[in-house]
Amino acid sequence: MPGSAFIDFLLLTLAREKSKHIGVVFISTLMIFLLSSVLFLSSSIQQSLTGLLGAQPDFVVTRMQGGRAVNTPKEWIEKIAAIEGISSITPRIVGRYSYYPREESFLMVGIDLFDEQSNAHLKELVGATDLRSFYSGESLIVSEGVRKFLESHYYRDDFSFKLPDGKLKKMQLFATLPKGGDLIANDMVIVSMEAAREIFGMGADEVSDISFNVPNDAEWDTIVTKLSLLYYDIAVTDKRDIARAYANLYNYKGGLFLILYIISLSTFMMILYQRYSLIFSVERRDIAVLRAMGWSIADVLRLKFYEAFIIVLGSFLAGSLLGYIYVFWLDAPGLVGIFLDSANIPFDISFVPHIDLGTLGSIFLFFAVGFLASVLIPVWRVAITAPKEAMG
Amino acid sequence: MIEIEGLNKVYNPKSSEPLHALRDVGLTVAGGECVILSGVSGSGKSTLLSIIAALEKPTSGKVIVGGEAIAKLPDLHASHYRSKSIGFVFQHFGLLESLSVEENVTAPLANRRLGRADIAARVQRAMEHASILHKAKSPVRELSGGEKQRCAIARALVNEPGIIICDEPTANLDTANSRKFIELLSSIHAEGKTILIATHDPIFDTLPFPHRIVRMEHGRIVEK
Repeated sequence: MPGSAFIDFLLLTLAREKSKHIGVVFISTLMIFLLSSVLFLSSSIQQSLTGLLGAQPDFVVTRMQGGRAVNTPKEWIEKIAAIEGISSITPRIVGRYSYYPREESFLMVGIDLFDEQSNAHLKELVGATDLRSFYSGESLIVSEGVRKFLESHYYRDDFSFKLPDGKLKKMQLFATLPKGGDLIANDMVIVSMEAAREIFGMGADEVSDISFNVPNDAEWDTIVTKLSLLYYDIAVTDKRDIARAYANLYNYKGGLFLILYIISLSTFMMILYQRYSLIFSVERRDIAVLRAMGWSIADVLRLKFYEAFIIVLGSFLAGSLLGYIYVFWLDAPGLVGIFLDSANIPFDISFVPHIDLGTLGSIFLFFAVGFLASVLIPVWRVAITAPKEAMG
Repeated sequence: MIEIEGLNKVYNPKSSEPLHALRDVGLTVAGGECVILSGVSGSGKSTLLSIIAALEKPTSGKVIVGGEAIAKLPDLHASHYRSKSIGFVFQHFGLLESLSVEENVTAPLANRRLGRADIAARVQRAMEHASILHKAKSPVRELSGGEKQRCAIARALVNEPGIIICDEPTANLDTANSRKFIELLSSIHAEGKTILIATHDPIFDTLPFPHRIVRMEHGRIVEK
């Protein structure tokens, strides 16, 4: 452990040479802020998705014709339900409704009056005690993102859907889903099953897909095989596929950022290396003076190590804190568009604070090791030079 | 006592034109003696001082200081030797420009395990001795040449070394400040410290205290 005189001298040099360090601290903080923001965001999105996918049905099946998803016959429900190990089988009407004037689309979900689970969940979300008027077929519940979008197009209390026959179906705005961390619900519109069927032009014996659960994970692959044997034109999607698709998407975006970050970091480290190398004769001379006064090479390296470490730690704490505020308090304006970019409704969500300590530790190590090496290698090279030579 | 025997220093020994900075130098300096190394630039006097201060290693030969062979000491021991035994005054003062006088004088003690009170007392004594106490809090960049020289002397004294080495100490001083420096040197000599000065300033030919002039030429001692 360094003695009190050493610590006093270290703090003294840091304080007296703050103008020399301030630029480095600023750039370091900025780099840590950028990287931590991206990783916080990515980590929060993946955490939200994990939670979200946990609440989704295990399997969704739909009918395919010529490689294209088409409406699924309701009669499939009986045969699928007969397969052992399947539970909670539910017909769904889900699809994207395109709003042509602006080329936007909403995720429309039809909810059945008799689906108790969905009803209870919906009641909880919108805080309504009575959903009967909603199921009358003339109301809709929208997400915060859709509400804002509709308001910007002067639809404050109602919205008219265009039906397949060209007529308009006017529906009253019943409620707005609370703003939250739900990534999928951002552009969601909930209507009754009948209204959804009418808007999509589906027959009474058709649904968009059928969802169900298979509680025994070990049976999943067997169930897929059985379904394929049951229907030649069936497409089976399980939760793992969705999770993988999302993970790939965000890893891809995070990876792009990481590459850009590594390029910037490398440039910064090279500048640092130059800064502490032979260019700055004052730095060289000061090291030579300390050596001539009886400081060993180890003493000089220790001083510069602690000096650089304080800068790294300070920048890391400041950068991480700013990243946290930016992502979890301010909802990452600017960055969110890059990560959750879509042609649809702009995202209006709050990120659930989730910090992976491993990630945070990696940021620190990743940055600190490069930084310390960029500072200490040139310092070491100067320190091992005979002080007389270093003093020029 | 400093004993030097058969000392050689060759720079770039493997190149086609090696530079022989010192050639078979032999010198004995008694404890408390003041020795002036005189000679033109390039005569080898600064190199000799650097080797005595263990700032450089000789190519061959012996350097024994206080009974300890210091010519080939590894860095840690050489640093400890410098810290304990040597006070260095550079031609260009060698001060840390961002620090004050007091902080510069403290610097040689910062790597030693001394208490704050002990350090403060030593720094105070050294600044008093070098007559720079009144400028203790002043940044060194605001000092005159003479004041910078006194700050450098205070720093050389703070470790209470037995040997003070000065490399061209008056090269950047006017005549009045050079005389003040010699007065200060006289008081340091009176304390029994060994003083080695490399210079070609004629002011050192007539010092007001006992001293010996050693002349160097082309890396050799030509007159003791």
